[in-house]
Amino acid sequence: MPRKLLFLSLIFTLWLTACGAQTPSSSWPGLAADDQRAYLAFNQQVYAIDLETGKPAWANPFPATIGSNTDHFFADPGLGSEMLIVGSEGPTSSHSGVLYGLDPATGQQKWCLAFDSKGAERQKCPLAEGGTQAGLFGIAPPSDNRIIAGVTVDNGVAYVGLTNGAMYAVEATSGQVQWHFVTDIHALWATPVVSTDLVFVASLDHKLYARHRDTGEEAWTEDLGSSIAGTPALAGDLLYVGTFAGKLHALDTRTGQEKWVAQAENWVWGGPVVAEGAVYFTDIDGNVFAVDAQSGTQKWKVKPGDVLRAAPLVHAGVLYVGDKSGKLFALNANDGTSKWPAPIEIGGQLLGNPVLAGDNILITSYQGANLLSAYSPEGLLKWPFTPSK
Amino acid sequence: MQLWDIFITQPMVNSLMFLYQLLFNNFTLSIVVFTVLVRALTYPLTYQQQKATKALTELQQSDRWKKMQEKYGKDREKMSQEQMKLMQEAGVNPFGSCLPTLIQFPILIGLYQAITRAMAVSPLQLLDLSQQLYKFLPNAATIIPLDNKFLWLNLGLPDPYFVLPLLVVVTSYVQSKMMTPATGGAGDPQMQQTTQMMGPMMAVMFGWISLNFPSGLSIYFVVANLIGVAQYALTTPVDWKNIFSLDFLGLPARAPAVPEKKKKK
Repeated sequence: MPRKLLFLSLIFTLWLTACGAQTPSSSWPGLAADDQRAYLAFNQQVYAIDLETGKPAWANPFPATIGSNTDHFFADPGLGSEMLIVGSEGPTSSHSGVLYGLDPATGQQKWCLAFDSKGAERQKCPLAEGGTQAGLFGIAPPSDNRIIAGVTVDNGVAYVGLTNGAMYAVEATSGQVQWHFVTDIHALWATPVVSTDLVFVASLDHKLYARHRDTGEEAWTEDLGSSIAGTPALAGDLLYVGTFAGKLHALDTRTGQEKWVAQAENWVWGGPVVAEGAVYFTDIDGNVFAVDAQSGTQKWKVKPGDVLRAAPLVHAGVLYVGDKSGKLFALNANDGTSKWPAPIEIGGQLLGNPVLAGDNILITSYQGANLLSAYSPEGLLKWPFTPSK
Repeated sequence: MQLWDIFITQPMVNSLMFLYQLLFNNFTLSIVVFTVLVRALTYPLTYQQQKATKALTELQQSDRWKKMQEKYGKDREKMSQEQMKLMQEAGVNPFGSCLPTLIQFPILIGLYQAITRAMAVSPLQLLDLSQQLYKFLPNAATIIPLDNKFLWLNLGLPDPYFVLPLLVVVTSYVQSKMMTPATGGAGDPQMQQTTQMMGPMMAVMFGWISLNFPSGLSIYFVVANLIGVAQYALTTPVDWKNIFSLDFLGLPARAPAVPEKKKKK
């Protein structure tokens, strides 16, 4: 009996370990694109994919970054005129994010900025073993400095938020930190948004921060009462922000004053999009909403499919939304009716935001057969991209 | 959603969330209170287990048992038959101490999953949590993500100073030592040695888990162990000297494995 018990205990312990071990993926693929290439970040790889052929122009510029531990990339990359900025969660179990400045043409590393509990430190690329905070026996250090939020690059400066609540403005060509500030308690998961003079960053601590983009000094801070994980949308003098309280807020960009609030039925996680005087947004119950951009009055609401985590994409009067069950829907932007006779079954889970590149609708899939697919606006598959194993 | 989630994990996740709101948005407190509640609810099972262990220990220390061991010491098969016979006569179920533990396993696993799910430190985990929350749970949207700071700990990460893993090892060891029958192994020296090794082995394993897993889970382990120790100590006389005897290191055993007479032979 004791042997059986011992055996059972061992099995149980191993089972506990297996179930609780950190899964290889903590998020879905990150995506950015210009007219010629798509830049895809997923797990331990970053790919540059030619939009004409769907073939990789380059891949994996991070071979064995930290010994056997390699970085994990999920955040949407930021694309500048001559730089591609990608953020990583850091090597396995380290929780120490790294921001990389890459040459978008070749993938060559130009600079690395490693984050740990002390702040940011520029490192020689590629990072040497122990170059970031891996911790004793691979055990995580006390602070959580991962990069989950997407990177925004504007006018030569990259803006990125960390899971420790800090936001950094970094010179895109050199990796030099221009300024940074720290928010309250919780993480920054939303991609920052930039106007001519301000940068807006939404936080899981319920607040929306507006900072002067040159100095990082506070312009205003607004508490919206619930976590914000989606990227806000900027249109004219209004900033549109969705929250986990199931609300879409329209705020004055200069003062943070609330203009109107529209109600959803559950968390608004995917960021809203603005087009033709309307704001389109989704909630995780699977609803798609269209409201008037100036008044917040609801124009229409439909529920095409399953859970909607991703933001919609508007192009030429059509709204593209991908759901958690792997279906891509095309809706008429003016009334929400289906554009296609049936949704496209892409497979996996469509959790990442779709991206428009030239005339391509780019869709990432988590746990699908293809990591990235390019569709024409009419819904014809141009190419799928599956990483070679 | 799977049945396991619907009946085990989801109610636990929502209970943790509800307690979090009641207990001043302190997730550590909600883990502690929830663990106490679960252990209170499963106390009848624990009591059955303790009762069965006690009955088995008493039987194994009885003269009849010792005589039987002397008589059939060399014939394992016969000894096993006689052991079963004695157990039947004494009304002791050999599985009595094992079965309640097995029934508690799903609860333990569910609780473990609920704690890790509620902490949701990555986007995929948070998406998963969003699908677990009951619609009627008040103010759920305003408390997510949970505040995972407590003292020096980030509850979503392992304890960087190893305090909790150490506590997990000590409390796991004490609890398992208490629960293991003093004459575990039914007189077989090899089996008794195996039984005695179980406590430290399990303690080290849980300590290792604690080193690598979120500290919120370690808090659960420590609280659950302490409750287990308290429950046992309240119902059964405890020989604390024996518990810290470190006999698994080869030091003198706390109870003779084989009757003295046989040893002299």
